[in-house]
Amino acid sequence: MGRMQDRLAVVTGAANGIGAAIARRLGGEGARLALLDIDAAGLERLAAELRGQGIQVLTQAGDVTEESVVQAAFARIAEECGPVDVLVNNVGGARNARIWEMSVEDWDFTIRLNLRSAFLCTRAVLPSMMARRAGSIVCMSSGSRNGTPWSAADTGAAAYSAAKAGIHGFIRDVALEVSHLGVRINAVAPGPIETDRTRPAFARMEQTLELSPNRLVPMRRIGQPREIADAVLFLASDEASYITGTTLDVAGGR
Amino acid sequence: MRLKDKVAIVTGGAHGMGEAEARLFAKEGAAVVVADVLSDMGEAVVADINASQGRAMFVRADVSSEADWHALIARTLETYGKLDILVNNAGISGSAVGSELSLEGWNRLMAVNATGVFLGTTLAAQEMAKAGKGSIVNVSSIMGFVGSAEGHPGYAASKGAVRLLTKAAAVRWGPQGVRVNSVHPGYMPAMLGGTNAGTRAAKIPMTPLRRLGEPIEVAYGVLFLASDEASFITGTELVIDGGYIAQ
Repeated sequence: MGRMQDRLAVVTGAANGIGAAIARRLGGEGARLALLDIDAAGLERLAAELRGQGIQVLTQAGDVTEESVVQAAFARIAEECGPVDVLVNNVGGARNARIWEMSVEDWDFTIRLNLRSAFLCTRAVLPSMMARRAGSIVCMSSGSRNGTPWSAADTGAAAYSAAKAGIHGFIRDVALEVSHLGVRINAVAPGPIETDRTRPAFARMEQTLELSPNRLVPMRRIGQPREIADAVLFLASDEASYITGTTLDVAGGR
Repeated sequence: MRLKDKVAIVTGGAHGMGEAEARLFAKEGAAVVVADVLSDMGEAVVADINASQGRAMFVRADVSSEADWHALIARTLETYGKLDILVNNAGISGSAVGSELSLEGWNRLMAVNATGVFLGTTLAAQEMAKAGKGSIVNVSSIMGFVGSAEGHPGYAASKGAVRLLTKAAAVRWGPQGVRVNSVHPGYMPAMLGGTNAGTRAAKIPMTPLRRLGEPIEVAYGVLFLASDEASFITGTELVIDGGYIAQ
């Protein structure tokens, strides 16, 4: 019996990196999966891998910052898979720049990708969770919600830090709105994690910065996507039944 | 099993949350050293674990005594050969120290709740650093974040001390592979020697999840942090409070 046996889990931004690790971890614990990503090819690759292990997977390609896309995706999930037990608002990312040079387009892109997606997907899933008085939502904040010294020294990442601080505020307030209705919502705040997307930047910082993440983090290393997935699994599962409205750092001590 | 072949010390393991942690750890494959000042209850927990295919040993220890800590760690190494996990769970409540504004109450709370965790963390971390790995979980409280008008104010002070001692230890011992985190339970059913059930009932409407927590719900969080699943987690807080401090 897995820790997610037969639960239906939706993971956004699932095609690569941390999202893919979360899908693998939840699926490995018996969850049925509905995976969303804008990268259709990546999504199908991951789905094929997971189905090969006997995991049930529905895929839906699309941009979860678009209201109509999110509404259609969750309607399809409800129809084909039934009610959602777990939502992992994982999608995120940034266009970094020095704040005095940052374009409004890049600011909006980052805020929209991290915050609007979490808002839209949470709004889409809550009515059925509240009606069944069950459900767990896990959002992705970041260690950068308190500022990111290496990113500030490297490219500047104020929009990203603002968005991830926004997630922390979001989950606290939503928790207060829905706790008495039996739904839990929490966030995980990853520190520096090695993915295909982050690897080049961390390699560059190791060359150019005295306080690169691998030197500044008390555990003296970059984390792995699997380590984030383990925390998401814990918060999503019934083992966390008394945990809501909190953000858990998975950041090697930084 | 998530703690297969690990050796763990759980202080205050004779009852309440500590008992739940000791039993869960044993079920997940750890050899558990139950440390407490309550010998009869501690021995009973250990007997029960050993009778149900677990491995456990009781050691009488007062966590405010440095000599007891040395003896506890020595006994653990002697019996099980190593130390992978320490849960600093032992603590006393702010309603269990007599007058709510007394210096004696302050001293007693700081001795058990803060000094006890300092001694355990420091001695265990040195042992774990030799092995290059280990996990220490310190049980603080929501009162490590917020104050309360009830009970002795030294309780919040002692739990706040645990929270920041945990961070200092995490930064210090992180490079040697030792992880140190704190857990912050909200309102649980009344513990031995703690406040009465009536006071607890009043906390239910103030808790977003509209119920008290159960010791097992804290034990699962402690298990997660103690286990290798939390391998990139150190110096942080896991709040298990039904949403209380999100308010």
